Amino acid sequence: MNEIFDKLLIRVLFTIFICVGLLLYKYAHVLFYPSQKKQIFKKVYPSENYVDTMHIFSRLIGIALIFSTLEFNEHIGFVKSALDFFILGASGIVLYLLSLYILDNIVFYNFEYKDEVLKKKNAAYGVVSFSLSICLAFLVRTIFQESERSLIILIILWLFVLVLFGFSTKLYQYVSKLPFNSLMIQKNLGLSFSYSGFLFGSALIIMAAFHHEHHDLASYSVQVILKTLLGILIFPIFRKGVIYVFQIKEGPQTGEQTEIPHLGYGVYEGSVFLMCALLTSIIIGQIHFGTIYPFF
Amino acid sequence: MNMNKALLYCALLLAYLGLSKSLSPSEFGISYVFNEESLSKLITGAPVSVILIDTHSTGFIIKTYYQKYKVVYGFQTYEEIIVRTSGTFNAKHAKHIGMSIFRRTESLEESFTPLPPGSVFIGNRDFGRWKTDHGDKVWQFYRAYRYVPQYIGFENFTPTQNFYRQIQKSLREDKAFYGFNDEFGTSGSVTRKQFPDYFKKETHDEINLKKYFADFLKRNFYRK
Repeated sequence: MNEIFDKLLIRVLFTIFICVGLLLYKYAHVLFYPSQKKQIFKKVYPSENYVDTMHIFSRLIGIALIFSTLEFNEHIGFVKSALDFFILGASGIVLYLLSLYILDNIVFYNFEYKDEVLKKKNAAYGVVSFSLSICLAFLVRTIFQESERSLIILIILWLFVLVLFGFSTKLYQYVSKLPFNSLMIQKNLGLSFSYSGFLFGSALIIMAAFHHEHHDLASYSVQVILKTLLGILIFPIFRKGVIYVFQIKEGPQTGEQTEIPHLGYGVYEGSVFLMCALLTSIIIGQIHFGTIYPFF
Repeated sequence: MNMNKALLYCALLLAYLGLSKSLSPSEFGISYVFNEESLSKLITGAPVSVILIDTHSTGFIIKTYYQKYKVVYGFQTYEEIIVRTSGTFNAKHAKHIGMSIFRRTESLEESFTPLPPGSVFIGNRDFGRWKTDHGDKVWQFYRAYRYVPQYIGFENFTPTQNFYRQIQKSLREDKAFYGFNDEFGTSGSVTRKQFPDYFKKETHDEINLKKYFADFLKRNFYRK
């Protein structure tokens, strides 16, 4: 019975630690958005500002996603495993929040959280911000799994993934016909769906590129770059294929205008980006050729 | 705009191919042998005999061919090397598994006629001598070179003087010699015994659909 209580106690302690991690985000929010100090410490009324609700809870979902990859193994020793859990958990939150800070500044370099979320209640900003948080959480989760509990490798891979993802967000203008800045100002939901699909697609391709065997960091990084490059080459083939097969007339002005301009086109673009990225990830991540060495 | 995109795509494609070629781990340390001359450049030292012991091809549409050689030197131990070869060169030597496809004598004379392994050492007075056995003259390596027959795969095969003469004749005529009873080469009895790796490999090129579906049904629906 003692053993059962002990195990339950350990689980409760870890639950408290994860809650402390969520609390950490509350204070981190103040650091990232200092002008909104009062707002985060106030009670949250989700129904008052759904854009802000999306913004905050997307980050909490992201933190939960990162924590979901952590493991505690008592058989390697309680103290060692607990320290591993705490250090990796804390590093995960810090890296995730730093990623959010950097990517927010890259993607929304023309927009302010305070203006778009609190004043204008810009739904497009909320949707894109939600997608960005989830994508970053998945990417940080992937590098956690690939770093095999090494903090040094984790930091190197984090920098690497951040560069790749940051660079990919800038490629949107080359693959979409929707202008990001002007439609974002107009709170266009079509743009938000299109950009979200693009973000999820990019994250999927990068995750597939990071997922392979590694013996040393240099050759691993080379393989990641090659796979990402391959993804960039394969992705347009799928996209062209879909457009050709379904005879899609591209262009935001084609067809009848709806109540929300470009909504249909944005949904189409977002869906195609996501679908093509998923198919591309099969090509770059799930086709294995082996080596000649088993034969000789 | 479309032209720019096409150019950008081509540039990315070239960058991918170039990076893959220069950074791929499978390209490191593997020489390319596309003809006899490149094989001669690859192999240094003399006397030496290069025995083809295995071949392998990868790829579905565009094949890449590999050959494995056992390089037996006169005055040092042997080494095994893997090279990438051209399709033509590989096809040319398809029947020569277990045979010497290149040799260089001490006087640096080179020849590429497919011959039984280690022919360069047979009849060379530095390595052995002819002795009479049941009326036949057979080749025997000196004690210092007693491992050579093992290296070249001659453990139970004793070359006779007739065998040696036929080797010399084949060399002059540049005609492959598989032994009087076809002991050497891909279907040779000595080769099968001495270089079994090539024959052990399972070939993936042929598939028996009936067997495949029977196995599939058995795996998925048959319960013990």
